[in-house]
Amino acid sequence: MKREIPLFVCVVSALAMIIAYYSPKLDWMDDMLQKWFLIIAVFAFILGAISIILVNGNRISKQVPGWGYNVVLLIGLFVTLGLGIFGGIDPKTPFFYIFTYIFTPLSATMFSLLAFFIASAAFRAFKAKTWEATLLLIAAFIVMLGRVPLGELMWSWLPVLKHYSLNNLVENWIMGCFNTAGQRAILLGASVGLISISLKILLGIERPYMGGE
Amino acid sequence: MSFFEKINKLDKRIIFLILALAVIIPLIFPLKVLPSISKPVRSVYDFIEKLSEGSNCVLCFDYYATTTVECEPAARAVARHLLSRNMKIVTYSLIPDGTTMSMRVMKEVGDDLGKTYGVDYAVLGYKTGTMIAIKSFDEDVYSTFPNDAYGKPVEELPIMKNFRNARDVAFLFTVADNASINYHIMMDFSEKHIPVAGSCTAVSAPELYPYLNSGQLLGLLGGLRGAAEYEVLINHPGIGIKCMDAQSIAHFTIAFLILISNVAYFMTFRKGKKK
Amino acid sequence: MLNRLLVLIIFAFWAMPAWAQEAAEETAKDVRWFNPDRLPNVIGVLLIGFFVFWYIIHAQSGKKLFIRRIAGLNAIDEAVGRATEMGKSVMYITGLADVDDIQTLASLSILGHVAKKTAEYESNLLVPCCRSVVMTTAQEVCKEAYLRAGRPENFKRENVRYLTDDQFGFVAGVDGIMVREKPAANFYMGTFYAESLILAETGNATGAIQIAGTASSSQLPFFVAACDYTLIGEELYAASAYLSGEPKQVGSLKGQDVGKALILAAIIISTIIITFFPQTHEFIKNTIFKS
Repeated sequence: MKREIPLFVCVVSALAMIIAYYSPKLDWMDDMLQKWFLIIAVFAFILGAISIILVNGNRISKQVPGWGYNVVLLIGLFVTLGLGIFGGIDPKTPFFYIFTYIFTPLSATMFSLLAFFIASAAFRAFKAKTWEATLLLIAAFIVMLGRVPLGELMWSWLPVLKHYSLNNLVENWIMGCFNTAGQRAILLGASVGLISISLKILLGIERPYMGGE
Repeated sequence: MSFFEKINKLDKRIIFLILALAVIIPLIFPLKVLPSISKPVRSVYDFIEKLSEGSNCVLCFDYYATTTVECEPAARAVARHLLSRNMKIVTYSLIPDGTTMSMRVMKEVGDDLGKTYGVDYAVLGYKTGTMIAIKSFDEDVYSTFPNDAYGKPVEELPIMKNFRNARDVAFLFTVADNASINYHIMMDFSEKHIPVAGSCTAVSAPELYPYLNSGQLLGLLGGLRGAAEYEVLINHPGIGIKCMDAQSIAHFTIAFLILISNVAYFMTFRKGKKK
Repeated sequence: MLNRLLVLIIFAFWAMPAWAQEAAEETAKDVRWFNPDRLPNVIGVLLIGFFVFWYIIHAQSGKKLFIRRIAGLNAIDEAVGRATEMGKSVMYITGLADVDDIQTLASLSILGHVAKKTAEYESNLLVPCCRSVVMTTAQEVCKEAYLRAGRPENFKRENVRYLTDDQFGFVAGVDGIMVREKPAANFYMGTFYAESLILAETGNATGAIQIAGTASSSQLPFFVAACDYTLIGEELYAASAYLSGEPKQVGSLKGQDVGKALILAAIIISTIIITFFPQTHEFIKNTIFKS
């Protein structure tokens, strides 16, 4: 029964969702399952919290190297949770201040690392080793310089090229034509793959949710 | 070790330092070069200009606190444009961070334009379930969000009287740093025929061009540049325009770094061949 | 098994009417049994579905089907082997999406294979997760894989752990693990957003062999630049079939290819119609695709 029940739940709910998608009369099945999902998704957060407490608590009790960070993590978790539950999340509440003045800048710092990593990855990997790579490099240069105001300004200084719109070249040709064609190819291939894997899950040929066997 | 070999093995930290300077210096000494307006941005502006006053619009805050710097200028610019044109804005979010973000942005823009909460705009907050949440909102706003983000019952908000489901929505704009724009295209445009436009991080913009091309996406504000263009259009310079100089110099710096890395690569490659 | 399924179906239909009735009253505003606007959609899905079914049956009959070489998947053994030789861990990231995302499910399938290899080689497997439901599923996948490899005692549940739902909080956590534990092999399979390059570059800096796979097209350039192997788009979905080599799975791939050929034919025919027969195009647009 350990194998049949998940398979049964998967097949029945998938069939119900598919039928409901095509049949407005049976749309209630879709609504009902979606409400169930919302309820289950909320409870799943509790699972995550338990995992965090267990893993970090375990490291603290064993005093593994760096256990101080685990203490900070747990304090952060409980303080933020407590302030949110008991003090609310409206502006001027402690939760709001933590969110605006601690969480947001810290998160933005992590995101801004991306700029540095893009620079170092481009420096290391973006080489015109082949004819295709050279084409890619030229396109990248045009987009990079064409997508910033200074690039547009400098383009307007160029003797012959200034008569041609850089914005048109970037927007309509590189982004609107070549990029769109490539994106569509990947999108279509991935979508067909998605239909195929969905069918396999529906038929029980592939069961990653049951331990992958 | 020759000069080019040294370039090839350049320490990452030097690259990081060069880039940091390229970003910081233009922020201190701005060049004040304005961007030109691209077609996807112009489409959003023109559409809002043509909307009749008092139309119900949805503004989705689907970005994490992480990408606030890149996404928020677009949210501010579009919210300002909508409110200045006397549209009614209802905001909601598919990610938890969106609640606090929308509270802050809407309050600041609303106060600046003298708009009243509950009459001109409302913040409904976060709902889990992404596509399911969108579908639920489209079918019945009241049951999806019984209370707004401040805990007030939505029935008590005057703005919500004519805002019950997707049929009451004239325009939807989503500011997203994830796949939310795709979800809104699927659920709101394809299913409910609501005109959908969006703003995303610059990295995600190329992925959305097929939807622009097919007309499923009305317009797109790609990254900080899109926001800067919109600020030019509404004639209200903000953080987008301020950051454009830093972005310009950073792009030129990266282009220069790629160029010298290629020169160094080919010089050492040729040297190796000669040997 | 069929009897048990029947009992379950009867039970479900006995328990459901109360909800169903209530939900039906609430939402059944449209009384049509079929939405004609979705006819093109249903035809497309049925056609692709038919070919997938057909080739699954065809493959089960024992006929050998060709499947092209995917370098990234062949390198899995090499990556795990290298980690074992170096006495270091293997790290597997299932992406940022929840378990309702097909990319995550495809990733969990590959995790099963990677976990089996780490179990066989007796190397340590770390699976930090961004979603709590993914964590519980990943724990089951790994447990099952260790069981199949005959080493259930080596499975450490705490190694499959939840970090945070927050995108860059998760990145900070994973980067921390990479820098502290320096895994020798990193796998990034599933849905990724802007964090892809931060993860891959940090992994690159620690000297790990890296294999990525995603259908998020805007992240592919980053993975290609920073990883040793990258599975592009549909290759991620094909991975479980490729790795298992099961006829049923390989058959589905063949069906998938026929589906792609159909789409290609549709694109070519549509282009010809739009370019040379605009009136026919208008007619089709206004009748079949009027929605």
